[in-house]
Amino acid sequence: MLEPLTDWRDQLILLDRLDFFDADNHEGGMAAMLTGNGDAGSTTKGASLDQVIAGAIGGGYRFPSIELGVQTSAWGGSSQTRMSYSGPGSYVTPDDDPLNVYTRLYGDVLGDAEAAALRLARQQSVLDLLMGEVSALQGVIGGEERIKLDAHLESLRALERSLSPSDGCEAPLPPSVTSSQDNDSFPDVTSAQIKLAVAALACGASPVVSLQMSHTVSPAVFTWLGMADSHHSLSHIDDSNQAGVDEFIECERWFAEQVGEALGQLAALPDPDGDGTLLDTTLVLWAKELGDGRLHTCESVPWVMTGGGLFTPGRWLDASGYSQHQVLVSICQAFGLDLDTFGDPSGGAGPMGVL
Amino acid sequence: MRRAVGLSLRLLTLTLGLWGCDGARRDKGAPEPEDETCLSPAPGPRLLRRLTHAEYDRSVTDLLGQESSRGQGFAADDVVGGLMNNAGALDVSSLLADQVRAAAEAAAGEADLSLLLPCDPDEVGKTACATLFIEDFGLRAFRRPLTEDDLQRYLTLWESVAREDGFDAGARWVITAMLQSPHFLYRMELGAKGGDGLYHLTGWERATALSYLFWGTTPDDELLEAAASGALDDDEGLRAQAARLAADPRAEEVIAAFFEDWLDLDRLAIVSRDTTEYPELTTTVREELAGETRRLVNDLAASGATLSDLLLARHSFMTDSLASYYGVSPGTGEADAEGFRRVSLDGVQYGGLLSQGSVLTTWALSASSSPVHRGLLVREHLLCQDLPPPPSNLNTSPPPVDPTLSTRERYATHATEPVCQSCHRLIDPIGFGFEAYDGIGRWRERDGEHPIDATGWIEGSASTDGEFDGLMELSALLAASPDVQRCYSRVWFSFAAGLADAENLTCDADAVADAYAPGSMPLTGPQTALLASEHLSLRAGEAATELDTPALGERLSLDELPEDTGEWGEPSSSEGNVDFEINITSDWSAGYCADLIVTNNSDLRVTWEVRTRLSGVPYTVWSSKYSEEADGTDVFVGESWNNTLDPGASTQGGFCANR
Repeated sequence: MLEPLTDWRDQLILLDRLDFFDADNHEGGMAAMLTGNGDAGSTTKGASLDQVIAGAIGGGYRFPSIELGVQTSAWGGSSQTRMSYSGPGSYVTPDDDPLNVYTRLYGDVLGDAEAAALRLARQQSVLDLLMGEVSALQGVIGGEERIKLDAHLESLRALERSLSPSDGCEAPLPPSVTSSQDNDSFPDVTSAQIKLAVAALACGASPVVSLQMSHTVSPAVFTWLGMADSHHSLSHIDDSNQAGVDEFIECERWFAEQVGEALGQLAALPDPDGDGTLLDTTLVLWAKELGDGRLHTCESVPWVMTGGGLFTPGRWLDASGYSQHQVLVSICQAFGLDLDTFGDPSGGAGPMGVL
Repeated sequence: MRRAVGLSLRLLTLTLGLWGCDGARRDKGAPEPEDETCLSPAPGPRLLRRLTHAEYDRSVTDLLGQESSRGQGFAADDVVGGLMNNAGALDVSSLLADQVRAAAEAAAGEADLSLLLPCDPDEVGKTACATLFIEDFGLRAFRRPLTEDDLQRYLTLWESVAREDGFDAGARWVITAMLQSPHFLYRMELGAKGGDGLYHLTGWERATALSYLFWGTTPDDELLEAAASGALDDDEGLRAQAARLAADPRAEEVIAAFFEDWLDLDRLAIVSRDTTEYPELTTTVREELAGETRRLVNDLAASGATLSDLLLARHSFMTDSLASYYGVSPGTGEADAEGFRRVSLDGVQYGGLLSQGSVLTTWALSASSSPVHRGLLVREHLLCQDLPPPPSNLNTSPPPVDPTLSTRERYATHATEPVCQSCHRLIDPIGFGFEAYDGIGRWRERDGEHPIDATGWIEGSASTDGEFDGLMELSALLAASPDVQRCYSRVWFSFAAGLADAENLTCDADAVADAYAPGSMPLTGPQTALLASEHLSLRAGEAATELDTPALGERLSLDELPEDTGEWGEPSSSEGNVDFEINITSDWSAGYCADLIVTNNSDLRVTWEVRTRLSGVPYTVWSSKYSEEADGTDVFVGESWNNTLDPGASTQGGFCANR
């Protein structure tokens, strides 16, 4: 399945036989994968890895983090369809539409610099007005609904930050995907989102980007590979049906190709802040939520990552005996975070020693 | 921040063992609601309900008189209790805030101002006309009259743009801001505090609740007038307006949306289907299947028909090509604009909601029917009994397609393996009743080479339990079930109130259902009954945290319109290192609330501080911090995010104070 990544072997760390702590099944796996099932009292307050890292290093950026998706949302937001969390049970919704992502990154490509500055000033006036309105409403209602207004105000502040001029981000041609939710657009959307993710990192719009491909119990049918059954159906094929098992492996190979594509694009660009390529300074983590799809267990889950200048790449590691919590702790510590547990502390303290 | 209000819908509380459903079986029917819950008054919570994306689109369409569909592309909302309109989950994320901004800018840019301006600026003056426009459009966008403060805020915005780019540009930026305003994006169900300590929804809030309940959109002029005249303050006036809304064709949208949400029919357009096995299921067919269900539920709802009538209907609405898809004779009456005609189903193997291709296709596998999915449809969605997911470490793969076995035979292990049987006896025997319909909803004589066995039974829901042979008999059992009637009512109440499984709501929903003999409740029964529900009109605050503030929406009365020559908005006083204004937004005998607007008119960036003497003592402060010095000086400073101001910049906070 990982054969498409052969060229990148020296850049990769393969975490094999990783057992999730206290999590199984589709929903449980998705929820625990990057959060370690933290509650409000845990060191990471229920947030997922991407949000924890963004909280630490994203402050000076237009976008502390960017969440991208490929057909993640047709079933709405739920523990089946979300992997990024800002807190316990609080999902960060990925943007499934490359055209929308493009507009957020580069702004409306209209008129000259003067027109753009005027537009920005108007948008700022509107934002000031809206923040005043939300603040005033906070004086009218208390309790639960006030929390909603707090979140709204926070969103307007994030919007304000993201609307500021995008120095260093030169707009490429906009993506040509028109129907981002059509099953057959899956490869085009994936390709567009990878380009945007790499571009956002390259121009310093954001230091943390996540990309979620479909979701658990995936209804995506890989028609572009000639499949007729959904990814989820293929994942449940029994061993006696060799043709079906081969089809599932081919789907997984396709995912590996997409990871390879992202690595290639990162390797072709310089890091915006320093020496070397973007790949040298970016930690890429390819995570999955289930180990055995047929048994719905989160044991022996395969994860793949790059060193990002923080870990020694070119290794296969036996992760048995460690939980995903410890992998998450290792990554956080490598980013300079002072924490010893990630999520539920009973999932294991300290980093993953062999990493 | 996303929160779910309540848990999930269920009639039975399933007592689960380590795994499985062994505690689920009950000897009695659906339990009576617990007395202590249902005896108390049942006011709902005070809520800010963000518009759903569909409500947003319809509201923008009605406000601007131009079709809006941008909401369809907004970030998907969370699903709670099977529904996507839970008030607790509908928030404004930073992604949505940006999408709403972009949509508002685009819609305002395209708006036909000639439809929206109530005056000619060249005749009455620019500022006067802007004032009238802001008051008029604001009333419709906020679903209540603007306060003085509201008007001033938008007039300031208009003026700042209009001075540079002219009247129209100013008006467009007013529209842009209003379409992002919390007063537009949230349906306020806050109420005004009454002598009984409860909050009573205002006439404006009632008009809004009615409009979104029946039409899923912003109130029309007649509703707004009814609110203004006080006609909605009594039950009679409320009922009269409700009857008008229910009888209008616009009521169809909400009813169709309810069924799509209830039965997950919104997935019909995207469920994957093996094109080799089912080449007939084209995109057009999917759309026509959805159209068939919309027409049937609306036809029956409009005629006062019951849930039983829907489950047992002997007619449907099909295009001629859809009739041939099903293999039934096309209709003979007049076709509607999209080519659908009424089709009689007498003497054919179709009839009732559950035999419709929309339902059967949504609930099937890619290359076959699915007794499990269809059994779960009935168990979870029609009986409101949630089941746990399969335990892990159990191979739950569907049995492989094996031409020597029928679909039913392939699931035989579910009945023999104890670990499977504990739950699947509640699922598969119901799902087998659908076996005469294939994975895309067409009736079949045989399953491959095998004869169809569509016998089955319902257990674990005593008021519904029974044996049947085929879907028509299964539908008859469900149509006569008090459990199904209650479930339907509960889902409607949750859907309409934006709450999941709220105790008070459940009591009201059950009472509505139980007032009818099983199967005899009109399809619109719960929707109509919501009017009489205390949930619609009464709200309880959270005693410790709730503020005793007046209702939003005191009517603004303009004695005379401003003239263009007037001085516009100079700061009034200065103490500390900045200029500031304190604008009272509401005032009652014992206290008042006010905005604090701070402006840095110096040439330097400052960390601001306001020093003044207020009337009374603040009890809540927002977007600033308050302290009182020993000599009685009241001091405000900024929060971390607004405590510094660039030259020329301003920020706004506020407070409420007791006198």
